[in-house]
Amino acid sequence: MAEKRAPDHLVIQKVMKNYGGSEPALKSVSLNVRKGEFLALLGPSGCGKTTLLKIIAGLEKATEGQMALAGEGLDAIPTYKRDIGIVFQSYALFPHMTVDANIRFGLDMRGIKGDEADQRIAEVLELVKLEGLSGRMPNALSGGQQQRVALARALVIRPKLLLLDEPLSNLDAVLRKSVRVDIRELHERIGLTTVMVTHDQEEAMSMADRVAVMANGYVLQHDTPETIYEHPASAFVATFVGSPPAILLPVEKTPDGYGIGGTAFMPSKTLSVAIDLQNGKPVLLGLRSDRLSFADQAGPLTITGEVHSSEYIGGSWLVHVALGEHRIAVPTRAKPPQFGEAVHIRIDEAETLLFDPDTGAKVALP
Amino acid sequence: MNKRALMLLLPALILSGIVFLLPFLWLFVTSFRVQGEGSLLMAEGFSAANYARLVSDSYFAEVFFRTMWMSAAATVISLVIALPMARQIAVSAGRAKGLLLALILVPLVSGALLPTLGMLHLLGPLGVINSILKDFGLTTKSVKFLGTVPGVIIGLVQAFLPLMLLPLVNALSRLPKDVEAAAETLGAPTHIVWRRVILPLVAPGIIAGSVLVFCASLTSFVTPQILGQGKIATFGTMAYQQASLVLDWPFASAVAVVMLAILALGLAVGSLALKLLARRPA
Repeated sequence: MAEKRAPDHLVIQKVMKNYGGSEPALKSVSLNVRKGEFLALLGPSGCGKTTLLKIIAGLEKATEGQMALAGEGLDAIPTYKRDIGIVFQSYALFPHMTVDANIRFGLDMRGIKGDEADQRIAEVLELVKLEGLSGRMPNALSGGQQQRVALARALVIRPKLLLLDEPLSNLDAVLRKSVRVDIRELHERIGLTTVMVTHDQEEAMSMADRVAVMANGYVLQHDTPETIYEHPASAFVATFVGSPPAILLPVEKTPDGYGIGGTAFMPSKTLSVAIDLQNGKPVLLGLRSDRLSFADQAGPLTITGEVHSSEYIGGSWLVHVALGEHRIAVPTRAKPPQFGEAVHIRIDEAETLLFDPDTGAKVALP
Repeated sequence: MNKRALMLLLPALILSGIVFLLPFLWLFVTSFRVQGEGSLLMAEGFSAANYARLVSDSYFAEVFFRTMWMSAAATVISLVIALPMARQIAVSAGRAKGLLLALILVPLVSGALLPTLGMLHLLGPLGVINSILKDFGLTTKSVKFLGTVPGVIIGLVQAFLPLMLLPLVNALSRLPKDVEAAAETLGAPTHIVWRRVILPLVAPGIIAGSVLVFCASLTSFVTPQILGQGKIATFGTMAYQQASLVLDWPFASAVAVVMLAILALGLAVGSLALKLLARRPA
């Protein structure tokens, strides 16, 4: 990458966590977060991302592995001495304390009192735009306000690292979009190294500098949102990330060339070489709807299918095409073809993704 | 209240009217009567003589204060024992929680007599505890539990611990998610998490449990009677003595009325504390 690389701030090495079940929740996770970076841990529920967050905070103990924050080993440091701010999914505000007392708690623990404490509380309240609410009790605040109190409480201690656990999941859809922007802006402003856990790929892709995609206790890919979208490392990443996510279609060899679900597929020269290199094993072709278009006639890099249905999505149509038992959606601005009509779909070779159907691993183009 | 609700409540109202309110009223009235000289019948007229006797006689004052402080001690000891137990049940019992709660309830529903008789065997001069103490060479002579104040307090704690445990388990189970973890990440070591987060949040449970144990200890009869072996007089044993042995019903009634008044006071203090707690500033 062209940008200058900040030094690693949080280093996680081969962290493993076993709760005692047959399968560990985390199976050897190694990650690095650079100073000032916003990292998103993205994955479906049960992938181990929240466990990893808790291990970083010290709320859970790793079964194996090491961690270091700002060059200092974390493993022997108890939670309360780690200087890591965390915003919980439930916000976890102290219900028996006012907003002011909630925020003051962390300062108290550090022996910061009097004018300095007052000034720092006023600063963070301004930062999260909650001036004038410091005397309220948490249950007298809206969900969005409660979240901002939780954020202020985590920031006021000037932590070395900020952890966000599904910060948007308890907000309504409208608020979610604006808070997404707010948190990102705040991050740009204060430049605090941040790790966010989320199951929402859109959140991860739009907010983070880098994303670690996790599944089954592994990190599958750790890279910038662009790279993860354009060059997913595996079939899982391709289908989990992107809106719309990639659709995987098995390509098989037929007597007269190649086919998908019994319909004709004409790959390009390089694609056919890549497919042939698999020695007759079928290959998964990953396609994203937004990169597809209709072609007038069959030719290289086209798939032939039958129109199944179409929906108007405002300004354009999404045409659902059947390829045997598979369905694929193709956007078009022109009047959509009729039901049952045979159509040719053009794919973009530069965007083409090939995966091994057994391992899900990426198949390199020659 | 509509007619239908009244109809449904009627049986309960009649029952509690007959078995609770009427006897209580009778008790209250009786407490202002006195027995005739050399007679078991009540003399004519009303007077506050029984209450005057309660206040003036130093023996009764001694019983009053002993009952109060034994109840207070039983309450504090119950709290200290129940808090870690309740925490354990609330946090990490998982599926065993239901079973543990049922076990807690056993002494409560089995009546006071059987567990107290069990305690007799445990605490007696040749009982289990004393033989263990001797086996370990901690004492050569039996420690006297029966007929002593500590013995009665042990019995009270044993009998009424469930009344403390249940509200505490309830309060601790309902602690909001992650608040302890939040306090920890903000820099609070465990003892501060307890002092500033857990205890204030479970305070309603602590108050409820304390009022229950205190009131139950104050009015208990079986435990001090059996474990006290007649040497430790409390309100309960004194009222029983006056009513059944001395046959001075008016005076026994006065003792009972004072006991009920203290009970009401205890409940009032408890609910006042809860109210203050609900609207404290921080």
